Amino acid sequence: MVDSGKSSEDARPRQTAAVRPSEVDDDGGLRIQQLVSDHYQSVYRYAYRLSGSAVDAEDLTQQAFLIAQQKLHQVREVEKVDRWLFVVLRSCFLKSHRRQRPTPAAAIELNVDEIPARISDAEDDVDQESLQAAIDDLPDNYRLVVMMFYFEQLSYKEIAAALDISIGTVMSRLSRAKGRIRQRLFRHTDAAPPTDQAAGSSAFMVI
Amino acid sequence: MMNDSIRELIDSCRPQGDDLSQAEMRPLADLIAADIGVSRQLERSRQLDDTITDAVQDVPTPAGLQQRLLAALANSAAVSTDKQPVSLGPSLADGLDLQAGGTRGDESDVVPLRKPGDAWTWRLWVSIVTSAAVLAVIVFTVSQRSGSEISYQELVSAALSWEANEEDWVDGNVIWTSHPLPKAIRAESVAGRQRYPLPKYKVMSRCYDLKLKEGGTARVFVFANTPGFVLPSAPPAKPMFTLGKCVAAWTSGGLVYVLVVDGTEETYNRSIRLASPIAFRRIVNGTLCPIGTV
Repeated sequence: MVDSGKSSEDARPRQTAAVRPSEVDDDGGLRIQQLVSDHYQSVYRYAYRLSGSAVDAEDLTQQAFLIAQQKLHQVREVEKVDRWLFVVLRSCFLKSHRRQRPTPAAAIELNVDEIPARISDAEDDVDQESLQAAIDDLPDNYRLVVMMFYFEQLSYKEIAAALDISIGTVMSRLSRAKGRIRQRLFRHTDAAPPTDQAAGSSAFMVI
Repeated sequence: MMNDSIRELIDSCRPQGDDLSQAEMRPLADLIAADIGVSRQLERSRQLDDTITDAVQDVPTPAGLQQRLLAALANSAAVSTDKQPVSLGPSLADGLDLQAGGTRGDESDVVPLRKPGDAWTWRLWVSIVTSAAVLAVIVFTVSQRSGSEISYQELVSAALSWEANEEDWVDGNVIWTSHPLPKAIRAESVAGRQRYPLPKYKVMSRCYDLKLKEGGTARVFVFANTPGFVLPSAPPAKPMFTLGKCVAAWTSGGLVYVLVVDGTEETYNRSIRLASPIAFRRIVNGTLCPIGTV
């Protein structure tokens, strides 16, 4: 049984929400209970996309808020607390996956088609199962980058700074990861005719 | 013109935003001005990104999640007030110099669960003992191998090797709601916990470091029984005993529990609430048998 994903506060703004007055106590400190109330859904959603599992997502969410509870005094810019929670969540995700056997990058072939030429109305309804399967297929580093782009809507520069990697690496990972997701979601869509230069490079390996 | 580098630039532009005005995007901006085809590619890419951005947010949240989170937080806060400070494992605290909002701050409140100075000695000792234990248990397992219930012994044997890893313990006062402690264990408190991947069984286990009510320490691994282990439905009266540790496994509510008690069988028996005698079983030649039938 699940809560509706679309009701009340769940009507998600496209950009992350700023802090609400009720999150702050009389001394200007953050209230963890209100923080949970206001942000648990977005944190859980992000955790679910990263982990691909409802059980793991709940664990990650719980872990993130427990750490948030202990580190709340470190928050200096209260209006960015939602982003701070995402940082905590990302750290928990990376931590939990660090000791898992990594997927060999050489084994991941990303056949990136051209960007689909037409977007039909039907494609506004993305098949959620395919979407999550495509995300799950990505190596952790790629999954994290593409989720920071789509979920947190961070720029490539912000992603590079947050992960301490080069802008070029971010762009490369983004392009490959997005290519894989698009391929999975929109493979039935007519592709634009490949140009001469693109035709020879439509398949490549992640290195 | 469309090559990989241009496509990377296109893919790095957010649906909304001024990314195109950034210096790195200059080649793309120039190309757009000269080639309407590239401009269309960017537009299509942004349309798709818009669709996917909406789709990734469409995740239903489990019923009661908020209440469970608040309960866990309250429990954590209560225990940390009553007893020792809630501590983060050092490895988790690392990397949590939280960047958003300039949150890098004082880490003095972070207390490692174990004394760092003892870590190497302890780990070395554990590694040696565990290696010996694993070898002994493998020999024991092979000698006992027969019948379809062998998974029990494999699991128990494997649990001894899980003991070797001492990293990544995090705050000790909270229970994962999805992986609760078994009611059969008589634990006074949880000293630590961690997520522990078990690649062999393709599951992510949760592990709790326990202080037992009657004294002593133990660990319990909890994970979904997706591998389909055939196990007792309650803690067995007769655990496997190897090199100072008693190990037992059982299943309940779709979860597998593997308990590792530091101590003798007596300590083990004190650490658990045994179920009714009919549930007691022992392993004979790899087969679980109710006591009294053999």
